[in-house]
Amino acid sequence: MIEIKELTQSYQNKVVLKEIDLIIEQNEICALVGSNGAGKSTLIHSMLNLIPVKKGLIKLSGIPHTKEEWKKNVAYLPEKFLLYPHMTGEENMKFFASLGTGPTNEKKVEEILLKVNLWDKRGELIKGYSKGMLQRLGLGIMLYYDSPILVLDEPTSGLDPKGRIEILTILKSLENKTILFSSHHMDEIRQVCSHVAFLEDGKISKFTLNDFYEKYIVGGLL
Amino acid sequence: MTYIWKEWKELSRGKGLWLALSTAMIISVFILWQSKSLPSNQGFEVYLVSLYEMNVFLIPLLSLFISSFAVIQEKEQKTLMIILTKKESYRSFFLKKTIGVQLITVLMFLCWYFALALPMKFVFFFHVSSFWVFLLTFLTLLIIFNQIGLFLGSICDNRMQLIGANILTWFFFIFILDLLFLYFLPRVNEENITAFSVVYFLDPLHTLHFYLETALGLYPLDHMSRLMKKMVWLPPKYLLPITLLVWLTLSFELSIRLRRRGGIS
Repeated sequence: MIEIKELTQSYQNKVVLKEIDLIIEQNEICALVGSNGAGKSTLIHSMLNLIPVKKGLIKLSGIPHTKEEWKKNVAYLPEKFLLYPHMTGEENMKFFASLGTGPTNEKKVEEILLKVNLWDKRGELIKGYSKGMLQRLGLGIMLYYDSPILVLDEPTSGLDPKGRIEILTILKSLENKTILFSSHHMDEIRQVCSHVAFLEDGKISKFTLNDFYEKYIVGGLL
Repeated sequence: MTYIWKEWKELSRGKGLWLALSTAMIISVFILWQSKSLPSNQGFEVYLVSLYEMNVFLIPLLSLFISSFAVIQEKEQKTLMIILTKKESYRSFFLKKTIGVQLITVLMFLCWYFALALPMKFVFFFHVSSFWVFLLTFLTLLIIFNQIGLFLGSICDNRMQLIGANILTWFFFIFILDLLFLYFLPRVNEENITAFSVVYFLDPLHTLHFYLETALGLYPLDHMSRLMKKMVWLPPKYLLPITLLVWLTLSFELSIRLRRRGGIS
């Protein structure tokens, strides 16, 4: 479960988030929607303590984000990441696996690489990977941690239709996960999400997928 | 250990480290070739000083670039964001990164100079103690500028900023700092010379050069004037570790406190 209360955040003297409240229930898949510059990434970075929070309270699985313990419950995939280009897919996977709790589980690394369909390419340097393969590897790293909360910042950005389908298929196959996932694509939101958090003018509103679709898409407000 | 392994893979498969190493190799061999005409009994120390003096221009620039790019890449490739949302804090990440970069660069250059020791033995009377003094001076130079590079990588947001900061830092240490000392030199007298000396020896290039020449016996400290005794208020063998410690601590702490998030908003 993700709880955000009265979060206010500003960037370069401009208020980006104005006292926003948001609750994402356990095992809910919620899309974070908003135009470019609306503050989606700022919200995600504030949640994950990547930028200091000036005002507000954030809890991840009931743990305030200022305490280090929240990290056990969350896995995050940034937008447009590149990982380590001079390392192979498997080496990247093993390095990030070592950042989790406990020793690296080789068997689990193998299972994940099979799940994201990169087992055959595991020995290749990732600078030779396509965008879709890189995105699948990133998703694989997240899955390795087996965290109850997944936060994805535009995971299908820049992918071709095939790459997007591959990512969405993996996301749809996940069970018992609370997922917050920012996106601009309504079609993929409809395939994966049950709720939508809409960010506009620094305020956030949460809808069920159907309500959001009727109000903003059918109603022509978006 | 995982960070050292990761850093080794990244650095050894990239071009930067090899470019730096091959430049150092070419220069060492070139100077060795030029030094063949030196008298074999004292030529070794002269060769080591010449080699160090050439490295002073080259190594700071190369190590600034290698180490600072190792940090900025973590920001640009967004790996830092993933790392910080797992068990690491910025301090623990930076410490491991520092150990990885320092260890790999130091070991690579150490291997080269051990390999170079073989032809040195054929050309000169090889003095083991002089060779160790040279290695200690060279490695201190490398470690200090690696750490300054790591600091620059930490406080810059992007590559373009970093290139400018690296060149400016190199220019500052090689040229501007000496101009500043020359500017203040006429004002130095018996009362303020020790204070001047503290600042003077905080410049790693001054301390290292002074240590190398005195430890190799090229600049004896036996018959110093009263003024000079006040200037060298501490033996060079103590000045060297103090300078190293000051720069390592200062660069490391400032890297943590002044770090930029690489465009995270």
